[in-house]
Amino acid sequence: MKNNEVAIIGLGFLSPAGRGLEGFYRQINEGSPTEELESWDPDQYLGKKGLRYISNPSKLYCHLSFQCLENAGLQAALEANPHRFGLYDGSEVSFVDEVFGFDLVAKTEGPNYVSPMKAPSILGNSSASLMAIKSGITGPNFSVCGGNTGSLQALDIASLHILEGITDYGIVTATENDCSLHQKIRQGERRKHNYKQAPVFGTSFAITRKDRLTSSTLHYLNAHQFVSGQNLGYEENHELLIRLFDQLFQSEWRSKDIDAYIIGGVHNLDVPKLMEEIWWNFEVGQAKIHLPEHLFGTCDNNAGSLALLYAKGLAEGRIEKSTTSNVKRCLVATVDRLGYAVACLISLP
Amino acid sequence: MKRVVITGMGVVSPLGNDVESFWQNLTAGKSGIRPLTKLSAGSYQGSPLAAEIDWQEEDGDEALAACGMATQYALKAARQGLADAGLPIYHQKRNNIGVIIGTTNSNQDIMDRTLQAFDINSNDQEWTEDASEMFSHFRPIELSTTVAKYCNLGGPSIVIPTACAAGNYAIGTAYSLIQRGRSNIIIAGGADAFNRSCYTTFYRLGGMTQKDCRPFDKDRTGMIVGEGAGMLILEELEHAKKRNARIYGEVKGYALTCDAYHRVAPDPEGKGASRAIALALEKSGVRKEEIDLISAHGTGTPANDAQEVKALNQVFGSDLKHIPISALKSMLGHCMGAASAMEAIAGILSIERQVIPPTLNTQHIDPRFPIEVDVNPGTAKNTPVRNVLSNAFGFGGNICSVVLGTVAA
Repeated sequence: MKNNEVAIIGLGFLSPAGRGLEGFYRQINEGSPTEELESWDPDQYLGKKGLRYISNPSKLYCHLSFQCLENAGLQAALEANPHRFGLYDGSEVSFVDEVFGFDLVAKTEGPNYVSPMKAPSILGNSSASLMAIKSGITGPNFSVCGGNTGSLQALDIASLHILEGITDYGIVTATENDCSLHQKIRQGERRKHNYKQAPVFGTSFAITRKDRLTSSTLHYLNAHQFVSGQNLGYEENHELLIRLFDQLFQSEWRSKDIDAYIIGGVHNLDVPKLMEEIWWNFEVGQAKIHLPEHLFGTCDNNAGSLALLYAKGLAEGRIEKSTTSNVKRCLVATVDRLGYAVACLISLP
Repeated sequence: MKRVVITGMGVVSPLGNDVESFWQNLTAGKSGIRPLTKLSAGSYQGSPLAAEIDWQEEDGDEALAACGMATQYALKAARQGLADAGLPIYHQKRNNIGVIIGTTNSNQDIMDRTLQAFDINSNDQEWTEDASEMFSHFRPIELSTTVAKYCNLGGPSIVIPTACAAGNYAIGTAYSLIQRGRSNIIIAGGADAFNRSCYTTFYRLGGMTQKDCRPFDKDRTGMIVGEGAGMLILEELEHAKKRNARIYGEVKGYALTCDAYHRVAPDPEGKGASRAIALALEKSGVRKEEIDLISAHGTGTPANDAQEVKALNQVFGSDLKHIPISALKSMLGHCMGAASAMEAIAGILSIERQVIPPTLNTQHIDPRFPIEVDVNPGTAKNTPVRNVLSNAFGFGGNICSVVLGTVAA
């Protein structure tokens, strides 16, 4: 095993277009659905009781994580060694609705009228913590707030823990919310783009070391190397990405090895400039630059996850609007409006 | 394997907004706890207390003033840390220096500010564009990206919202990233600012005392909400040596676990905590006999302190009687995500100066504990300190223990 390689062995996906990989393919090929998510936990992994004080994003987080554990067939391993599993959440501000409701009561009616039962949901780690309780996972419980880089950043940390021997398995989940407060944040940021926002959805990935794979393990993708960085004073976001790509190409692969560049956080980028810079700086060959959010709808936390699923779709020839085929090696990257980006090298098994 | 050392520190705390004042006040046994002033004290029953920051706005910087207070605290502490490490506070050259900040509430004070400034009193009220603009600073990612932008740092930038364990999470994550060669220098720590939601949470959960914070005492009645930021400059050892940096101490290892027990209460048996402590010792290669100081999470709540002693007892056994425990929240209040970062700074200073700060207010160790512990009550003590174990526990059962120590040859 190379010392920087982890395998993605399970997937979870839920959107109004459906669940699992097929749900993702439906949405990417048919476009963002207009209907809303019918249930935040359609398989009732959380049961029916005690849901009153659990926020919708937390329900979705748990649903996706359980779906992923099931898909990866990890129940027995989890039962045997719950402390060797880590839970990761890449969802920024998933708790904003709960904080608002909580704070509004404290402001208008007074602190004595706030329900203490609502307190757990106003924290940034509430979803992963709830999942730990529901699943019995006692290894690292790790949430990150990375905005558009969130899901990829969480995958980066989970991979780090795998490679450092802290865990054997990581469940990396990110949810996407679209409540009125999210819309206010987007409005306040004065985003200038005409892309359609993706509906509420979420993704989950199960990862492990490649040497733990057996013949019966599902094996979707390999993540080889992560880099991340903040733009420097003189850098625009596309220039930051070029710097990170350059760092990646100092490792095991060169630019000529890449079959596809899959980029998220598209509304934070000057896309023509990025394309120009990639072609100018690297040996691109036949590789194409893909922007899955054009088909799927723009994301916040899940821009990176979407790019990973898209890579799988390209490899399987399931992206109907793409003529790219025979994809083996991809560079996946995403950038946040605040000038922070994460990039990684992905290979198809 | 790369080694990770600490070459600079910065702090904004209820006991002073620089490292030296912080340390002098801690070792003098002073308390930063006062009556609550940053919220409407009359809204809370009794005599509400708080550990607040005495803050002067930074030189009329409007863009920075629009950010949450935790972001502002973090930047001030980060700049202090960089200067202390002999590094520029604004990097002119391309660099890969990272920023990792742990937090409980991140920028939740922006919610208070927006509701107040625009008189928002209901769910269905229309917001003006200005209100939305103010509210857009709620995003937690602003904590690290703002520090990175103001200091022009181009490396990893991570915000970790793992409640009251978050400062240690940041230190541990920076340690791992440096070990993996992702960066040679990372500013790591925690930041949190006063806000109504946080204070109300502990008030409504009955976790706060209205007397004094007396960790591990038989009559302890709770914690007191504080605020601030603590930042440490973590650096790869050879990199630090090459530039002749002053080295305060070394991050020797850390461990992360989760109780998976309850959303706002610790496992009463301390199972998650004992596993984190044992793992942190194992990973750091430090034997339990080599720990000279335990920097406890020590909130002063009945549940936390009881489970922490159980956890320590499971790992250290009878040796625990002879290891001093400091519980700085008795003086600093509970500064949320910043707490363990401040405690790490104090731990490193204990190693550097061979002094252990006291625990205030504690008079009678709880006899229900499985073992009697020494919390070094009242006054600071001069004693050899080679290694410090620092515990941090958060809501949701998030746990991180870190081992800090002298730099061995």
